[in-house]
Amino acid sequence: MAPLISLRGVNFSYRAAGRRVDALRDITLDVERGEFVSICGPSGCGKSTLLNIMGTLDRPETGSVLFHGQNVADAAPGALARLRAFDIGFVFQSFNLIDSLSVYENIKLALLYRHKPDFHIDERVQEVMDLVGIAHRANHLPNQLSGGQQQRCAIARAIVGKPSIILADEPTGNLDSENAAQIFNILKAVNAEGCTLVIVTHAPAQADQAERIVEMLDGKIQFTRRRLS
Amino acid sequence: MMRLAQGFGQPGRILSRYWGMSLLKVLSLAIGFAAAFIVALEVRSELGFDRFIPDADNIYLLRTLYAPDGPEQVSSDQSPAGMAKWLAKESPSIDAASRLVTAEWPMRTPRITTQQPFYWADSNFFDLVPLKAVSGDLSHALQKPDSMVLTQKMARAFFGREDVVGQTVMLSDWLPVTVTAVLADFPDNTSFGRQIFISSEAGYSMLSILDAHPEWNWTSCLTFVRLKPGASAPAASLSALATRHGVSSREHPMTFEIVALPRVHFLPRADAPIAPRGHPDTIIAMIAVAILIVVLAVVNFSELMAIQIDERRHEMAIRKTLGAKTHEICLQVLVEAAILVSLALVLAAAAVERFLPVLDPIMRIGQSPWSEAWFLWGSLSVGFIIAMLGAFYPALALASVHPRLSRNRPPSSSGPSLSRSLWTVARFSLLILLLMTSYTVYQQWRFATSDALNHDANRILLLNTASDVPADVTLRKPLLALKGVQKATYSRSLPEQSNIWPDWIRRADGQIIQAQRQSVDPHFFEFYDVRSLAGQTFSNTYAELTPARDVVINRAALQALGFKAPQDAVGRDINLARDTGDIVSHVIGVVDNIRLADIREPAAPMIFDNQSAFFNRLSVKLAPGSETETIGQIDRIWRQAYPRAGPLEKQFYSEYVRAEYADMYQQWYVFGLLSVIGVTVCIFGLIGLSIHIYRTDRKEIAIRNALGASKADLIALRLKPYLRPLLIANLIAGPLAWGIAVTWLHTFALHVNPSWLAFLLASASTFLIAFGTLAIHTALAQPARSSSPLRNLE
Ligand SMILES: Nc1ncnc2c1ncn2[C@@H]1O[C@H](COP(=O)(O)OP(=O)(O)OP(=O)(O)O)[C@@H](O)[C@H]1O
Ligand SMILES: [Mg+2]
Repeated sequence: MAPLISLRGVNFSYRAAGRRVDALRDITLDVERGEFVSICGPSGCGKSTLLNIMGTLDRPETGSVLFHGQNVADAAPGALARLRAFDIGFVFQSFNLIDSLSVYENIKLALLYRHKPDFHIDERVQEVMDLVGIAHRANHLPNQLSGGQQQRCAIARAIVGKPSIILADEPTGNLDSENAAQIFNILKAVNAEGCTLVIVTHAPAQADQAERIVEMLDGKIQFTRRRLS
Repeated sequence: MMRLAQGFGQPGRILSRYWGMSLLKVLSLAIGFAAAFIVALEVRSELGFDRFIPDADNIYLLRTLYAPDGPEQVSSDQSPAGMAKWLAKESPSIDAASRLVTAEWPMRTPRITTQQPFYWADSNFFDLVPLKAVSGDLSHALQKPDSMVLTQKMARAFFGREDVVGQTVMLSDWLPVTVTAVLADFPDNTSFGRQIFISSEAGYSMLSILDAHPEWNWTSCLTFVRLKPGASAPAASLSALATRHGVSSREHPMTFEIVALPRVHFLPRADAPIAPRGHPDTIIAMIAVAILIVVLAVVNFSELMAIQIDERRHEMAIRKTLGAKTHEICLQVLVEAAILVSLALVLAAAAVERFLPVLDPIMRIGQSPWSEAWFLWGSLSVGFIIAMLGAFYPALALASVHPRLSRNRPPSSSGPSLSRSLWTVARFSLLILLLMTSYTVYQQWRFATSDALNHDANRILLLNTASDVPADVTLRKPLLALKGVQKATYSRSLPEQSNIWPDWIRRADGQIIQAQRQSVDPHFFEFYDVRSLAGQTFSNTYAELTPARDVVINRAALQALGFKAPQDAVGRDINLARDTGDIVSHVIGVVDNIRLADIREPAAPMIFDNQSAFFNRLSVKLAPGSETETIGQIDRIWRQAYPRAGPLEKQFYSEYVRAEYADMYQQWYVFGLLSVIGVTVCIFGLIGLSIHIYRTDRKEIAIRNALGASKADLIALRLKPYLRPLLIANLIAGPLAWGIAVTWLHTFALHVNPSWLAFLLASASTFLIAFGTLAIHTALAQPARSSSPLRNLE
C-alpha cells in the first residue's frame, strides 16, 4: 500500500526583502499510515515549512507531494480544502485559535467545513473536550485561557474530526514541562488509536518516543533514524 | 521644534506605508467634495439669478395674472404696453418704469447675415436696469432712433471684435442702425435671454406702434419698475390703475403683481419670454443629496482612519509603554488627517475646474467656478472643517488606547461592530435612495420629452411663417407636394405655448372663466392625434378678422364650463366676454386635451377657432430618412414665396421640448451624476471595510483555510455581516424612495407611475454592488501563501 504522504524532491524558497531563502532543498520523505514521525533540527532549518507543505497549506516549487498516492502538488484549491477538512489536523506552535469564538465553537469549526456532518457534532465536541480536559472552559474565549489550555483546545480541534494525520508544530514549545507532558501524551494516545502523527519538536525526550526521527539541517534532511527499541 | 518635525515626519511615513488606504481615503473624500462643490456651484448659480445687475432686488418685473380670483391658470411675464407710462405718472410708489419688447428680425453685417432675436427697449431702460458697459455711454445710448446696444459676445459674432461703437448693422436689409454702446457679457444665470437692445424711439419700433394704439390691451411688454425708497406697490393698487385705464374690466379681469428680478426665476412657468424657470424643491433636493454624500464621504474617511487605528492599536500601546504622551499620538493622527483632507480638497477643486466645461452645457453654471475668492476659500474651509471633525473621533479613540492592551490583543470581531453596521445601513440606504430617485427623474423626463407627446417629436418640424410676411395659408400646399413631407397643419402658436392669448367666457351662472384662444386649421387635430369627444371639428378656415362663430372646445374647457358629458356642450352657445361686449360663439365640437410639452401644469381650457388671420405656425411631419434633403427643399420654397423675408425660422418639435424641459434634463443629469458619485463613494467605503476586515481577520481566515474552508466558504464568511444591513437598508430606503418618487411625480399634472420592477432592480443592484465589491476584493486579496498569517509572530 502507498504511504499516506510521500514527498519527492520537494524544493521551496521564500522571497523577502529582495532575497531568496531556500527553506527546503530536495526533500524526499515517506510517512506511512499510523506512523509517528518526529522532525528535529535547529531553528530556521525549515521544519515548519516542511509541515506546511505536507499539510497542503503551501505548494512546493518543484517536486511532488502524494497524499494517498495522489499528487496534490497542483490539485485545485477546492480539492485541497476538502483534503484539509477531512484528512488533516493541524496543531500550531502559537495555537492559532479564533479569538472571537469560544473554546467550544473553535473546536466545532473543524467539523463545519465538512458541510455534511458525519459525526453527531455536539457529542463529538464534548467527547474531545473531555479527552483533552478543557470541558470546564467550553464557553470561554481563547484569550481568557492559559497557554496550556489554549493548546489543549487546539489539539481538540485537530482531533475532533478523526483525521488521517495530525501535523503538530512544536505543540509543547510554549508550555511548562508538566503541561507539555500531558499534551504530548494526548497526542500519543491519538496515535495509538491509529492516527498518523508528525510532530516538530526541540525536546529530545519527545523526539525519541517517535517511531522515526527526521533530522533536518539547512533545508535538507540530514538523516532519518528509527527508534532504538 | 524637533517634536514638531517628528510630528510631521511620522505621518508622512505612515501615509506612504499604508498608501493604498491613504489613496482610498483621499479619493473617497475628494469625490464627495467634488459632488458638493458642483452642487454648491449650481445652487449659487440658481440663487444668483440676475444678481450680476447692481441692486437687482430693487428692480421689479410687472406680471399679469389673467385669473379673476382663485387659482391662477394663465399668467404672463409681460403686461400691456400702457402700464409702464401710467405707473410712472400716476402711482405714488413707483419711481421709474421701462419696457422691453421681444422681436426677431433679419440682421446683416459685413461678417454675417442672421435672423436675430433682440429687444426693443425704452430709452430709459439702462437707467432702470444698470447693466455694465465696456464702451459707450449707456445713459444716452438709446436716446436716438436707430441706435443699438449689444454685448461683447454679440459684437464678436457680428464684427469679429469688441470695439464696435459707431459701427452699423442693417436691419431687414433696409434699416441701418448704429451701435452706441457695448455691454459686458451677461452670465448664463440671467433672465435676459437676448443680448441686443434697439432703441424704441423710431416709428417702426414695436414699442412706438404699441404706444400709438392705447386700446391694445394684450400683454406685449416686459415692464420693469423701480420703487421709491421704502415704498411698496400692493397688487390692489396695480389692478385699480389697470381698471382706471380700461385694461382690466369685469369682463376680462386682469390682476398684476410686481416681482423682484432675482425671484422671477422661481415663479411658476408663464408664457415664453423669461425661461427656463428654476425650482426651489429641486435645489433643496440637490442640497440634501450633496450633504448626504459629504456626510457619507466623511464617515468613510473617519471609518478608514479608525480602521487603520485599529490596526495600529498594538503599535500605539507599545509606544505608550515606551513613554509616548497622549497628545503626541493625537497630534500625529490629526496632522495625518489634515494632510489627507487638504489633498482631497485640492483634488476635488481641480477635478471640478477640469470637468466643469463638460458639465456646463447642461448645468449652465457659466462663470468660472472659482471666480469669486470668497466662494473658493469658503468651500475649501467648510470642507476642511467638516472632514477634520470626522478625524477627531479616531484620533481620540487612538489616544485613549490603554498600554495594557499590548499584552493581550482584544478579541477581533468576525464582523463589523454595531456602529459600523449602522453606518453600513445608512450608506446602503443612501445608495438605494439615489438610484431610485435618479431613475424616477429619468423616467419622467423620458415621458415628458417623448411618450407624453404621443407622437414622434423628432420628425415634426415647426415653421414660423409669420416672420415678416402677412399670415396666409398658401405654403401648406407646395410643402405637401414634397415627397419628404407627410402631413402639414397651420395653427396660431400650438404646439408651442408662447404668446398665450386669453379669452374670457361668461358662464350661465354669470361667473367668468378664463381660457386660451387658439386658431387651427382643419388638419390640426388629426395631425397631433387629438381625439374628438363629441360633435365635429372644422372643415375649412376663414380669413376675416371678425370673431369666429363656430368654436371647438377642449376637455378642460368643458369641465371649466360645468358640462358633464362632451355631448352636452355640442350645439350650445357660449358667451365670450370682449371689450366691445359679449360675443356669442357656437360650440360645434369637443376634443380631448392636446398633449403638450407642458406636463407640469394641468391642461389649460382652450377654445379653438379656424381663423387663418392668426396662423403663425406651420407644423410639418417629415418622412423618415430624407429629413435634411426635405428641409433644404422647404427653405427653397420659402425663399421663392417670400424673397424679401429673412430665412425661414424653424425648429424641430423635439428641440423645442428639450429647451422647455432644460430644467428637468438638468435635474436628471445632476441626480444621475450624484448617484454615480454616491455609488463610487459607497464602493470605496466597502473596499476600505473589506481591506480592514481582511487585515484584522487575516489570521482567522488562514486558520479557517487550514481547517478546510473552501474559497466559497471564505467569501460567504466575508459577505454574511453585510447581508442584514443591506436588507434593513432596503426595507428603510425602498419605501422612503417610493414615497419621495410619488410625491415628486405628483407635482406634475401628467406623470409616469413609479414601477415596482425598477425599484426591485435598484434594490437588487445594491446587493450586486455590495457583494460584487466584497467578493472581488476577497477573491483578489488571498495571501500569496496561505500559511504566512499562521506564523508565530503575532
Ligand atoms: N515568510 C518568510 N519570508 C522569508 N523567509 C522566511 C519566511 N518564513 C520563513 N522563512 C525562512 O525560511 C527558513 C525556514 O523557516 P522555518 O520557519 O521553516 O524554520 P523552522 O525550522 O520552523 O524554525 P523554528 O524551529 O525556529 O520554528 C528560515 O530561515 C526562515 O528565516
Ligand atoms: Mg518552526
